[in-house]
Amino acid sequence: MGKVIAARLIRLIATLLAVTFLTFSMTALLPGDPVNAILGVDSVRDPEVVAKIRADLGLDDPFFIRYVNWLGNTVTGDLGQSYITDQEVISTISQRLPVTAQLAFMAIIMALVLAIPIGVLGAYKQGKWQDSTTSAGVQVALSVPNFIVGIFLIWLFSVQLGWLPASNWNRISNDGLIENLKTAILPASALAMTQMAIFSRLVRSDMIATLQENYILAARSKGLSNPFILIRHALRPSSLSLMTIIGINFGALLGGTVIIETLFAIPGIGFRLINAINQRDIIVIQGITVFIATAYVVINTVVDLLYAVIDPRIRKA
Amino acid sequence: MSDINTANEIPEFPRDRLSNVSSTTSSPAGTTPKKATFREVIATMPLRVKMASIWLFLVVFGAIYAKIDTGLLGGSLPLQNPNFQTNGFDPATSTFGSGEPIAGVSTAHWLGTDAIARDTFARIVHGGWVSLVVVVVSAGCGIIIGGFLGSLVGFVRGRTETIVMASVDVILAFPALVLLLALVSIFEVRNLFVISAVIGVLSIPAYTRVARANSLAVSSREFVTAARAIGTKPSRILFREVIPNVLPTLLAYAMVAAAFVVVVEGSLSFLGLSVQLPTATWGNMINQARRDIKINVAQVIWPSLALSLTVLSLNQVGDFFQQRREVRGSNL
Repeated sequence: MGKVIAARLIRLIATLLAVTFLTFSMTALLPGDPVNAILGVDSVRDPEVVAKIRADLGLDDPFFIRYVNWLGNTVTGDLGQSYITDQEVISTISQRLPVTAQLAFMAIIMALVLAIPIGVLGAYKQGKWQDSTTSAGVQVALSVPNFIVGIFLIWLFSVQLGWLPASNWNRISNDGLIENLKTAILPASALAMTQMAIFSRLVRSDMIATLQENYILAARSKGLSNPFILIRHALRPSSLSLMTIIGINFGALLGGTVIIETLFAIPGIGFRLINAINQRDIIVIQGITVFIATAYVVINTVVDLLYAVIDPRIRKA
Repeated sequence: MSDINTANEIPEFPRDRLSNVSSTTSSPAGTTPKKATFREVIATMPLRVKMASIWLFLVVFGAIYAKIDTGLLGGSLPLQNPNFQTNGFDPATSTFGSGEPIAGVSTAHWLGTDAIARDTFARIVHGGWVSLVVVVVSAGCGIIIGGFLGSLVGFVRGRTETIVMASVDVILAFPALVLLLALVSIFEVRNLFVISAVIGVLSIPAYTRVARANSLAVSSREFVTAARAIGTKPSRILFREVIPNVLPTLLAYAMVAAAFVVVVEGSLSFLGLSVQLPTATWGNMINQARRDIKINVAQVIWPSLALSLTVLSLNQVGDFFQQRREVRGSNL
């Protein structure tokens, strides 16, 4: 077990080094002087500001030295500061992270709550109309991009029914949980849709395989009830693959939050990223990209390790 | 899971005889199985895959038709100008046009008009062009560069493989859309060339991975060993034996990847970070129409429907071809 952890951690560090290097190289890809890109060509070019930026970023150093310096700062949590809003990138992220995390977490929970019954039903009634209807629904859910789902949720629940706000965000700390959920439920549902489709497909195919196992037959012959068998015996093995797919899909989910936060004007990390892109605020783009990529890589490593904890067979591999 | 099942059903058959037993394209043992004809492929398609193919054909036809119309013939074909504001000011007659913005369905405008009174049908047909180009470039980059790299490293192994696959893993370690956004943000001018090039480059790693996995399997097969044994040059084995056997899987994968690429381009357009206005894309049409969703939801529905149907169709056709590949692959 110790060996597995050590190997995974080494790989994690190597991947993170490469990911940060790639993100940092983006500034090197910028056409022309990075100062131009940061300040914008048409902004007033105050030589003092230019000199400050050059010194801050160490633009006169060779590329590799700059990377090492930047990496050192990044590791200590200093992601630089925006030259447009003057805010530290790390404080922007720490302010907005709870919002994005809540959305992602709610989306995964909602997706699981919907996907497991749908998948189980499809497997249990394999080939019957219940299966073909849910499979068709899953196919559609898989094909409609989340921003379209979001727009039509807004149309239905905000414009037509007027039940929920179409945009904005109430913080739990300011407005309480109920007001917070009112603003969170629509974006989380939009995010959950695709995930739900992916999860339920997985549960269905996993369970179809599991239901043919001998121990299911044994459980049936013991006279256990169908719901009991489905939940206690058949669903268990699927939890492993579900965990993996949640980890793998987390990247898509993070990408999804960028779009959904923009659509619903939610003050999360993704919305900030889009603002930064529109303002060409390179430092913020870089900081947020590194943060999201790091989070994604770390989460996948954790999932891998958890997998090894739960399933002893993996440890040997 | 399905591979395991099929393997269990027919475990003891030698592989070369399998093609005689189970495939419709039976052939004498020892020769390569005959390629399925176009008509045979169509005949084995379920209805939904046929319908999906028809929709995809319509989109591709519409996109090319629209491009020929505006690009070569100066708008002389019967399709309205996607950027013409029917209520706009005409300097020649110094009058405003009579078109209505956000109009409903009519004979003049089949799908109505958008917020500045442009014909929605024409914009949807034209919007297909951006998706088409992005898909073709991404599949082209993926298959040619990624396919070659993957086939190569799966065949030669060694340090080349370690290096190539490590770089692939790094790129795939990013959440795809976030990396794409970061890269797109570098460019000040975002035209179709830039967008499709960036998406194309980002498509390479996934194809490399698929190609390598298949190349590994092909490279350990008897005919490759035989070719090696008779002293065929490695480069010849790569191009004559490995790549032709990896390619069909890549083509099937390209369909599924295309669905993803269409969504990604749609998302970029929706965020206003794809091809710049006034070029019509489904994503930017949805983004513009959603502002007037209280007045007319239909204007959001049409481009959404075009985008979703295209993704659904690509998924259906892609799944169909991938399943065919798996069946045929197990027969090889």
